[in-house]
Amino acid sequence: MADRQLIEPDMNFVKKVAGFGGDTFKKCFQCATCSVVCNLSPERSPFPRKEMIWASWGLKDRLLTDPDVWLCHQCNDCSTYCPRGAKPGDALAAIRNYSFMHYASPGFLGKALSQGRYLPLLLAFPIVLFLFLLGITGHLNIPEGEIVFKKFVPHTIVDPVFILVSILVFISIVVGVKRFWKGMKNGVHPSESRNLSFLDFVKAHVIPVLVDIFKHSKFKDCEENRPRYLAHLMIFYGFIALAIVTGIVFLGIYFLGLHEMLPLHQLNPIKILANIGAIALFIGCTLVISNRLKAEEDKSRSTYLDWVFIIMVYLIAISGILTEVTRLLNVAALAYPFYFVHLVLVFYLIAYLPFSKFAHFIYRTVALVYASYSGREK
Amino acid sequence: MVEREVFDKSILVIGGGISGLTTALEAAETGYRVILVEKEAFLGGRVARLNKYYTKLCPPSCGLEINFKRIKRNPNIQYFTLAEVESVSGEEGNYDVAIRVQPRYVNDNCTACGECEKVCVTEIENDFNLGMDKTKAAYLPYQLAFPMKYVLAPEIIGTDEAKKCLDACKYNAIDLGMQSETINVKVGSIVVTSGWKPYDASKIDNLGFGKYENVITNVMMERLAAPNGPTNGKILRPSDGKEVKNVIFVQCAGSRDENHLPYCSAVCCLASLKQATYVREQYQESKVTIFYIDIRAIGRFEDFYTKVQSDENVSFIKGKVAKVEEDPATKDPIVEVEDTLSGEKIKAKADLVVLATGIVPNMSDNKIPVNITCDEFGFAVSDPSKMGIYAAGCAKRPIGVAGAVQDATGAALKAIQSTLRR
Repeated sequence: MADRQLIEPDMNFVKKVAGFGGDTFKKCFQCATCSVVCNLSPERSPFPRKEMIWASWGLKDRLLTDPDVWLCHQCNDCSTYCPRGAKPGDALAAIRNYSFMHYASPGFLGKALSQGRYLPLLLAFPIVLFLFLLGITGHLNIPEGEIVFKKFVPHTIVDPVFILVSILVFISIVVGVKRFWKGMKNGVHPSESRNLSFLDFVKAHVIPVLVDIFKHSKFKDCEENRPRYLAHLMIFYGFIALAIVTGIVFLGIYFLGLHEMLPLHQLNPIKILANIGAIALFIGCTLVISNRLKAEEDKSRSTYLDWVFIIMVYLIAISGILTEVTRLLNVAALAYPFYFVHLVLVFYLIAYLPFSKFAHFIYRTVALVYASYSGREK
Repeated sequence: MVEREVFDKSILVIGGGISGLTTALEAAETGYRVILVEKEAFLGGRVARLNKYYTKLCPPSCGLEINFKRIKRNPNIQYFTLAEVESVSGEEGNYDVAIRVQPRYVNDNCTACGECEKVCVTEIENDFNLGMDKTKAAYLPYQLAFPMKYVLAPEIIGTDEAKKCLDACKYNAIDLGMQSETINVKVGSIVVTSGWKPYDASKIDNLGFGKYENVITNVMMERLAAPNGPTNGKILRPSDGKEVKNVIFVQCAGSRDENHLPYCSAVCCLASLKQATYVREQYQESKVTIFYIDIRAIGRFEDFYTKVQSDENVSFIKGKVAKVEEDPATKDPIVEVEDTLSGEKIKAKADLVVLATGIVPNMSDNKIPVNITCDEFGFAVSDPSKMGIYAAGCAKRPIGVAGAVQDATGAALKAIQSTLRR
């Protein structure tokens, strides 16, 4: 007798995915054009045709444990050729959006990040927190003299907050990734437990994936949406540059005792790297936003989660640049408020990372590593 | 300008394909006078270009010959070839119609002896064979053409070659001074049977038509298989004339696709099933694969589907071909598809790939000057506020020959009623 399987449709999931911008997936008539035109789809059990019917059937467990959802880089070749306007590209993006919520803990934050009405509350939290901390330490005024930001927000106030938040975020990510990995292992593309030492695992599966990510080679395979390659590349390297700078400054202040290292001279290599990073971030975001605005409605539609994430990053870049420019122009009345706004936005990005679209870089990396590990790739 | 004497209560039929022939004959045989206008030099349209009808698999000549005989015998039908309707005015029961007739340069004396063709050297694209071969500029549209008269292509008019043709004609049948003329007629009702054309497959950029020689369309396949076609009925592939041992059919090539034709073209599944039998009959060891989304063999056509399915050399794979490439060495096309039942991607090589392209109404871009309501694709829709003008056959929707004939018969009755309502 053939294997029998009990299918458990989750109607709520179907509605949620539809709400995240996948509202067209029910038009799919399973012709499989998408699986063929996709340059990233494997030969064996290709995507996204199967994901489209699982989404319609509400097979949440399969989709959430399916690495293929993350192999997609949303070039929208599939949506362009889809004969039904079912937009598989948007459907997979919606499933990924659902995944952030599903894997992140605590769950209520995931829900809050996915809905526009909670945005003021999410922003109000760091504003109130910072105002409170500045208030009780007597820093709620614009300092006199040369603009040095630690006169306004001392490291002793801002750093503990960010260190604590980073630790919490890290824990949340570890928990999410563990659940995701376990899910994939027991999911639709299972992988047998293999006796692979950690070092071999890293060598065989992590490093090649990271090289691919750094080269953005998957993006290059996407035909329909080439402009996204450059835009994403700039944001990616902008972030990396800024992360390196932050790391160096953190090391300098706390481990090398260079308490007076900030502000850096404009010709300092670290500062140059920071400035390049900021500009890359700004240009990358500008490109992404313009690409999204230009995107044809019938091929791809941006959702709240897309917009709120890219606009936040954009605002971080802008507020950071404005902070620096006004500082150099010595306009204290602007420099300090811009700095405050920048801090609030950075808090938003970091503290809510596991629950927002920002988490895509984690889940996608993990899924790509899993795909390599389980032999899923072509 | 020529005025034709026409009886009261006459009916104008626009388009001389199978639907137009049927409407004209059914109406004429009840005693009504009919004027039939055909754009091409012969009657029969798309059906004349088929190899066989589905599902009986008999050649179209049988049906067409009977109809041509009925026309010849019936004084109530006046037909014009190389003619198009130029203008229509009036209302139900009373229309004034201007018909523009292009010169054929050959008159009724023609016996189709072919002497003019022998002396003619200029070659033109053969429309009848969809441009797959050439024909002389003095030509008979096809062997069984009706009217059985030669045509001189405008390309040679005014040249010495035309004079040579004139000199070669023993029957005084060539008239190089023939001019285009406008004919004015009065009719009581109009039936539009303007028919269809195949969807332009080169617009489907992922299927390789126009890029790879051995990717052809289903209408081309009809000509390849037809005894009066460019290969005399031997199915040989275009690139090297090789016999085809392995043929792939790509269903829904453009149809049911919002980027091309959002509707189902209704006939392509049966057409491919039929064409699979052409290949299987000609080459005993041949293999045929049909890639499809769904096989839409509705009603009694299911039996034909089952019959073709029972041939073990015809396989059916559920999945739409979305990419066609070519092996540059052999010019064999390679199709890529996901078999949705097994969930595996397949790359299949073939000698020949046939795209089952769909039906586009001629009215989609060639507007006929009649007041008829069309949908967004150019198919006529019935409009009760516009009595007196009706459509039939593929001018209305994608439909097979048998259905078109039934539809056209019904349209004849509508047209008769309109002439009486005045």
